[in-house]
Amino acid sequence: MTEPQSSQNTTSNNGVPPQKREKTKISKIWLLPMIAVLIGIGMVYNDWQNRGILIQVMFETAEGLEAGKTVLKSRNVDIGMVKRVGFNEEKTHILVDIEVQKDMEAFIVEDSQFWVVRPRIGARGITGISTLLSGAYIELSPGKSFIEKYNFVGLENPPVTPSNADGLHLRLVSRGSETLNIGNPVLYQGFEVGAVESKSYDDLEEEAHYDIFINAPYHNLITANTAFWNVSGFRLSMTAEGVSFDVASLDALFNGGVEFGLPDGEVPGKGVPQNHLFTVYDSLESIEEEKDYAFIEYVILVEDSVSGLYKGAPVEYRGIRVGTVSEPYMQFLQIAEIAGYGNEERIPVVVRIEPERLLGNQLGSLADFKQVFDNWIKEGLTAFVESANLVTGSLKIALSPGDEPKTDVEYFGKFPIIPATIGGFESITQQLDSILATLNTLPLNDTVDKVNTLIDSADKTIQSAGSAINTAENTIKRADTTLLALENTLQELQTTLKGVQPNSDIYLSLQDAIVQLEATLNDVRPLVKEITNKPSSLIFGESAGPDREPKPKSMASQEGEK
Amino acid sequence: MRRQLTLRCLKICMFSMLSLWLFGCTSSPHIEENVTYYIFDANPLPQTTEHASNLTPVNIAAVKLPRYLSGDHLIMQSQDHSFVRANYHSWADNLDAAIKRAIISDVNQANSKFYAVNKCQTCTSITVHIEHFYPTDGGDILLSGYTEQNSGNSENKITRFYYKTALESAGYANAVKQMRKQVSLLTKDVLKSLDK
Repeated sequence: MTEPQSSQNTTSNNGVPPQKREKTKISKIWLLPMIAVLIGIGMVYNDWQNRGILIQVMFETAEGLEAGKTVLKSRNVDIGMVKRVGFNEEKTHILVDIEVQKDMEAFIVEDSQFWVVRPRIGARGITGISTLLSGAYIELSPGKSFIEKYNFVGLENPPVTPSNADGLHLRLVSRGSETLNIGNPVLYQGFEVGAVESKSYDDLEEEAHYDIFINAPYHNLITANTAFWNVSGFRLSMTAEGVSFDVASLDALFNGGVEFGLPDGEVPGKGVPQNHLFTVYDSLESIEEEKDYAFIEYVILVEDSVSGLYKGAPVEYRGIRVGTVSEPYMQFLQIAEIAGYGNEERIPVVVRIEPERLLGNQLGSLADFKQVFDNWIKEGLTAFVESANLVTGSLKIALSPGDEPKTDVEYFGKFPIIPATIGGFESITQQLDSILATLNTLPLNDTVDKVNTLIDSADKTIQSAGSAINTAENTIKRADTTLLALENTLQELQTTLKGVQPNSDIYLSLQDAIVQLEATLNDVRPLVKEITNKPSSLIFGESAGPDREPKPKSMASQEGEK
Repeated sequence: MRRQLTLRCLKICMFSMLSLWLFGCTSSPHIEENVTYYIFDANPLPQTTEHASNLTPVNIAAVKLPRYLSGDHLIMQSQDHSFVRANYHSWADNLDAAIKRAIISDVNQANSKFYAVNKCQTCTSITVHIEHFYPTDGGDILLSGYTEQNSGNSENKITRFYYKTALESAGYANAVKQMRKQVSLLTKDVLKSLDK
């Protein structure tokens, strides 16, 4: 290369015109802006490449939310940031734009749930305390679906159970007065296995509806024969069966809860599908009472007072529950419609005879049972009002076989009649009344006067003496009858007093309650001893250390050798 | 000069002791241990309420436990006459009720001439009295006691039982599994005695 140049120069120097070299049209200075443009494009591309997914969530309020500050978290990991907080078109709700990190795309599916974590006080205690210092944040519970979605409606309260939790969703319906709240525990033998998720009230049916969730693996305990009952607070009840005192767990004692299990005598049934409907009873004892039984209605025309006889009072056949009082007294207009105005002075008490209480699942048909029951009435079955509880003064209907057969069953309107007699307390009252009336009407003074007169006139007329003797005999006979009635009354009083003897139900129930209390105190005793020996453990929470656990013989012998 | 040095040494010593004492309070060892609950009759099998007419009902009246087994916590025999009560291993249900359910389930699952009922006035009634039922530190599981059979018209028949099996694996969870198996053995022997 150097040689041609030197020859060229030589040529030029020798008068040869210089060759024309074309100058480049674009100046080298333009390289600099081009590099800058390329870098800019690269930055824009990089920004576009790293930009997250934009989603929109609707909330009732923007309390605690700030654009550029509030973060989106899932299980305490930051996965996005609030970009904008604004209103919807109707200005009724808040729309929050959130940019979710690109690699968290799998979290944005149609059944994902969003809610704002802020300090709250509820059935589950105080939550979200940490946000007092750090500020509120939006929590995301990822769903199980594979369908993407970019617009969501946020929850106003945190869900009781995560959307991806394993278990069983059930629906409960309650007609009782006890209410449950969202977050209340669902218990099995006192052990918490689920929670109440939502509640609503059906004002047409006058029923409360609840959605509950049972965590896996306890959902296997739910079968078609499972019963649910309320365990809110503690229950002290004095019934005709005795005294009972029930206390649920400490959490349920203050906040309420619902327990489930199999009623006495039931075996586990078939499994139930998701959202199966169950009834919630007021208590375990009320399951038998509140269950919906098939029934036949009868009427009893009572001559005594029905004060203390309430709807739902038991109907018993010699102590066995066979039905329920449906109407303690029929409405006046209904009586007038059936019997005419002022023609019926007795009080018609409508009762439901529930054959399932006697026969269980063996009940054939109601018509067959009605025929059998009508035959019992024809054979002399009678009904009377009797005391159910001496303390509260409540009454019940008692049935007993009588000795006055009937040719046919009579009807009061559409209701067949069970013949009524006087029994129980009413009979005692009547007998005492009759005794007092008899004692009042006994002509003792007259008799003495007559005897004196007769003695005086005995000598005068033998015939008048004979009549006086007859009168005296009659008086003695009446006195005998009175004594007999008194004896019967005393026997019935003795039977009544047996109810509160040591073998009675009330006494045994109290004993059971004391045994349960003793067992609970035994469990608490080690804790009290620990606190007595080392009060500081209450503050510093020193643990008892791991338990010694049983070991197989090979391991036990090795440890022995060591 | 010497006095100032002594005072400074004293201050350093006191500060060090105070710091050590405060650190001692805040860094006390804390062992996290959760309570494990056991259901004795876990994994129940489906049962039917309808039974063939050739089967005989038998009433499992009650399972009675001694006082030391009636608590919620699992226990283990540590020496000849002493027991250790677990702090972190507890029954989820009353043990007597759970054993009764297990026996009823075993009777209904067994291919025998009998089926179990909860209440019955006329049929044969069985009451199980358990005296010993626990794992031992020596690696055994022990179940002993007696059954009381009442057929209504005769004197109660007492049959004693005693089962001792070697523990296969360590831990209360395995012990509970083997205790459940021992109750199944007891149910088989009860059915055999009913057959006689």
